[in-house]
Amino acid sequence: MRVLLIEDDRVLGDAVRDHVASLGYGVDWMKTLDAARQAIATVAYELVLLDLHLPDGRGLDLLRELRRQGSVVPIIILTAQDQIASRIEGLNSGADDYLVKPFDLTELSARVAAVARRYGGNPNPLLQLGDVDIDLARRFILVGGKPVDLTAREWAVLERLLRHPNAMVAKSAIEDSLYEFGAEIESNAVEVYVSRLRKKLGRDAIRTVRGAGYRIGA
Amino acid sequence: MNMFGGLRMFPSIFARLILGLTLGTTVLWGGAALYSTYTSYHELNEAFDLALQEVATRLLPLVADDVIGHEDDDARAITHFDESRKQYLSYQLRDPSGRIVLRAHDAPQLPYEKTATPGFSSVGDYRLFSLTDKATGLTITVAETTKGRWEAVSGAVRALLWPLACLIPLNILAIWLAVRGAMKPVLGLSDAIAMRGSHNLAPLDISGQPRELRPIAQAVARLVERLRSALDAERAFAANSAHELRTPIAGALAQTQRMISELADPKDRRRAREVEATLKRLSALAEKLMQLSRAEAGIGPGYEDVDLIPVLDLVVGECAKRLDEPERLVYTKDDSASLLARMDMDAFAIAVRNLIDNAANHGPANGAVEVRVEQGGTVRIINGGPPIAQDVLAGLKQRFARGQTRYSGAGLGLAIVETIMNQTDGKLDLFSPATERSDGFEARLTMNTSQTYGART
Repeated sequence: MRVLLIEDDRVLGDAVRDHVASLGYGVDWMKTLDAARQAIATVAYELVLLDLHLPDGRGLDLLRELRRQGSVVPIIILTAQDQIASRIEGLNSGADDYLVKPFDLTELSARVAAVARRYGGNPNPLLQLGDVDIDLARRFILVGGKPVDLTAREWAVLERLLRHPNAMVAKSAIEDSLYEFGAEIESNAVEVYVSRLRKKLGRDAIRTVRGAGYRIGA
Repeated sequence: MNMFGGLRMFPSIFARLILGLTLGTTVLWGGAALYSTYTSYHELNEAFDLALQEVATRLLPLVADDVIGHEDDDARAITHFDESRKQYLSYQLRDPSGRIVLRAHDAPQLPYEKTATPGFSSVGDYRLFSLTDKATGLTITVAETTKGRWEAVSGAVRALLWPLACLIPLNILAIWLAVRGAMKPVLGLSDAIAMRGSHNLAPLDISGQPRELRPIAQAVARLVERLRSALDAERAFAANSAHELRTPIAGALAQTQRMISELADPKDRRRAREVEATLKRLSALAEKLMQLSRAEAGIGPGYEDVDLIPVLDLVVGECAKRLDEPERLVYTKDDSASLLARMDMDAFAIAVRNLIDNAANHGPANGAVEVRVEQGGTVRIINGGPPIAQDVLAGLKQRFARGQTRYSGAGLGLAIVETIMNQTDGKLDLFSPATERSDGFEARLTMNTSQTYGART
């Protein structure tokens, strides 16, 4: 999943970017509204983390702009303003969630995962695929009743596939979810992670749609 | 002390006006009545004197004619035909030697005076008029009792005073009605100003004020507006300070949590966790102090009626998300319950959030926290646990008061809620055990849904 972080505070932005990246998502960090607008114009983000007070304007203006243009990208507001009127304004303007600073990074993870699931059409964090039980909220997997550990990148690939179970997901879409904006992408990276997932979840857990992409499901 | 000085004893302008106008009109009426009495007395005396003179003038030729030829007879008394009627006039006829030759039946046998004074004179209880016939030398003295005159005068005065005495209560009633009507805008303005205070700064309606009151009403309206601006600025400052403080704390906390995830050495991780825990305590304390600061800036009252149910929905939803087990929070609302109150939404949110956090942190781990909205503008927040001793319960609203708890809070939450509720004429009540239970703790918010505030500053 490609995530756009818009935050002007260097210390906080740095930590949030690293944390979201550690979850296996590709993160682009912009410190102004102008830079964010340019990034949105060139990349199809799947989640935006938006600060409200930015040096060149209000985050709410960008939020309204996006909704006016018909964008349905999930947006989580990160703000130090805790006024109810401000929250209501944010949610009424089309924000999906609202997180008041200071927050726990684990709470941020949970909110990000919840919004991603909601937009993936499957808000239930508990999934079962054959003998594989997956708890997306807690990032916990049991295969045949035994726990299995996945790396952050493996989780990112799995979550992208699980967003639409039984549907084909293009290889390029999985690549987009893996890497940060501008990072080098090795040509066989997706195959490598799919292969690792098959070893951990079972050979038939992920099927290849030849020449197009991959599909997860029974 | 003059009359107006005496009126200062009365603290009410209304009473002063009623009393002053009543006394004033009564004194003026009394003066007018005295003058009328005095004038009437003189006019009546003149009329009676004229009548006395007229009687003497008419009677003298008649009685003189009757006496001529009987000069040597003893004095006679003229019989009166109708003695049942009260008589005020009598007369004596004397010859030139002063001997009474004729008199009215009720006239004294002795002369009214030794020597008749020509014209008018007063002797004892009589008013006299004497007239002498130059041809015969006979003198008639017509006498009128002063009692008769006084009866006439006092009758006239009574006729004047009775209507006045009846008019005084009517006058007081008319004055009361007039003053009340005139004072109505003053009392209305006074009530409107009395309603204002740091907790109620709604704009003052100055339309329809009389010309005399308009400058006062306008000055007060401007003052209220300036006070409102000043308080808004103070509230905004408190809110902006919160913003400026939260961001660096958020940065420090997030960086520390990142560091923990990246450190390999367990000893380093333990230290970093201590830093994280300290930062969280600092964050919680800063949050409480910011809330207290906003509460003391008078954040509580709103400028208009607000339905607080959606705010409660939002706050409960957020609190549930923060809990490890969101299902711990059990939220119920009576069908007809309403929370319409003139209260600031943020103040209400701060109050409810504090109470829910308290219940979640001080109740049994993983125990249910109930939030109930009931009729009468009541919100109850209930948690389980052993009952709290009454002396501890009584002191929980004090600042930095902490009950017997495993949780390390700042001890400010309930003091903040109490401050906010007091500002809105609402109530925070604490119960332990909780109502209808044998255990637990209940914090009950009762909103002021009457939409008015007293003039408290």
